[in-house]
Amino acid sequence: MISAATFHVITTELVVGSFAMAGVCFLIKALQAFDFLGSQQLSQVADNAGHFAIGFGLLATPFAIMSGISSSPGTGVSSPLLVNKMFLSMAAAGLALSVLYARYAVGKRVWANKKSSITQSFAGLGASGLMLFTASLGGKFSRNESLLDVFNLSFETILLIPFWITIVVLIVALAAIVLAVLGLRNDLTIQH
Amino acid sequence: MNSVRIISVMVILLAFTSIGGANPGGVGDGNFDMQCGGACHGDASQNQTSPAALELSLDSTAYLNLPVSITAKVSGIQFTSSDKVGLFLITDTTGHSDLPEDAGWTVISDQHGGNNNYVEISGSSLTSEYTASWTLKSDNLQPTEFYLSIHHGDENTPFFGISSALTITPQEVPDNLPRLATDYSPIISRDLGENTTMLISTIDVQQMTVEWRLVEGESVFVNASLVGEQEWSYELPAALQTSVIEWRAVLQGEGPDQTTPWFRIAAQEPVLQIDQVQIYLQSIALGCFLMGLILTLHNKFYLPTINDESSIGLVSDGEINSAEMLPLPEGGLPEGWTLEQWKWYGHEYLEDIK
Repeated sequence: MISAATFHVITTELVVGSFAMAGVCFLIKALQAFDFLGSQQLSQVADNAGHFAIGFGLLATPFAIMSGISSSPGTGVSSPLLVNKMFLSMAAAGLALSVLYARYAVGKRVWANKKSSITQSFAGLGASGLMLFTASLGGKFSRNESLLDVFNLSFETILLIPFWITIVVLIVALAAIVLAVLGLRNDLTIQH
Repeated sequence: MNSVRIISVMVILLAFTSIGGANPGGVGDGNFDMQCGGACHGDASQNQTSPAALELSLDSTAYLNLPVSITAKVSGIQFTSSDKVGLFLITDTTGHSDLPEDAGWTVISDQHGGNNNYVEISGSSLTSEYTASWTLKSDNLQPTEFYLSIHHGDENTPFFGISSALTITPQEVPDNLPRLATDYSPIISRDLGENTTMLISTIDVQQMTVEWRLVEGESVFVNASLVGEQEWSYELPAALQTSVIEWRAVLQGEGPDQTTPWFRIAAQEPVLQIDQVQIYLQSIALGCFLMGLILTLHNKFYLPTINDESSIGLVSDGEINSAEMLPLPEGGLPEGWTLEQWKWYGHEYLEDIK
């Protein structure tokens, strides 16, 4: 039987590798949105590889989160650093899901104009950055050192909002998702 | 030209990475098998044999379901103060199913006040001998072989070593032996700034004296008070900083006097008291908020506008790379279409009606 700690190592490596790959691809797309690296072939490769990588990373993310919670000392999320990891990884997962859905719903037209391209590429970059940030905090938690130590960030502070505001944000966010999804579907059905 | 630039950047980035198979910062105490799940040393195949001399010893007679201490000694090797040395107490050398619990033993406390089979100690350039100890108890009378394994490294090389076996065979508890209750499990951690009442459950004990001390510090002796049927207690003063206190009890009764192994209790920062449901909900709300934001932006932006000059040339696949507007069909725009949509998707409409 594999232990939670070992499983966490495996899943985080899958997540980090995939999101790092996606980050490179979305960086290329972001540069192309500002008229750098204009190669059409590179654009296609970055588009396909970026979305595949972020999708694969997203599949591995729930396993990484669950095994991380299981392998951490104590029960549940028991330290400010773990709470911040939880927030960052879920924020990254939200961004990654939106990137994937937009690509699925809109198709390649997601790159059809500058604003849409910037939205898509920066959302992908944000997802990758936040996920790599989360992984870096894992090193801080287990080894008390991380690549981000140079920034001297405090992870002992938690931004915790009141419970009722959380519920309101959740409802508003879900409503926004539903409206946006319906809007995208309606706009697309006009074409056919 | 662009490819050359990209490859150059990647080569430069790779040049900044270090090559090594070890984690010099350690991985923290935990319950690990001998190969550490690949976590202690990045790649076990790179391990070299450690020059350290390893020795395990049993501190007293082991009885069924009663705690006993095992002490590990590491010598013959010099570390620097920045080195972490990982020590494993294991019951097998195959690399899996080798935790003490796999052989029916429970780790009650370790060197640092936890209950792990793997502990990390810091190296020192002033000494070449290190000790660590574990307190365990067995739930069976079978002989068990214990091994001490070590992981450490230098700048680029991970080292691995393993001791010879220490065989321990627990014995049946003699009649009238003053002893700890079989289900007794000592407190191993407490918060800073709190006095701690230590409760001890015993069997056949008529008097108890407790010796406690900071690790490597001076001993304090107190008489434990009887607070119930074979229930004893004594007070530990509050700790002002993270520290480990070790204690043991001398048990007196009709049988021969018994001294318990050293137990350890770690004083640490209070554990975060927070509603787990709120954490999970806020995380989900944050993820949903960002997802909603991005999809809303896409909903707003993805249809290019006629005045958006930047839209021209951004299309990557040639699928819609023509900004030339097709002539309108007979009868004008299809129902529900805008001029902008016709400009970009009119060719698909014409293909569909063919």
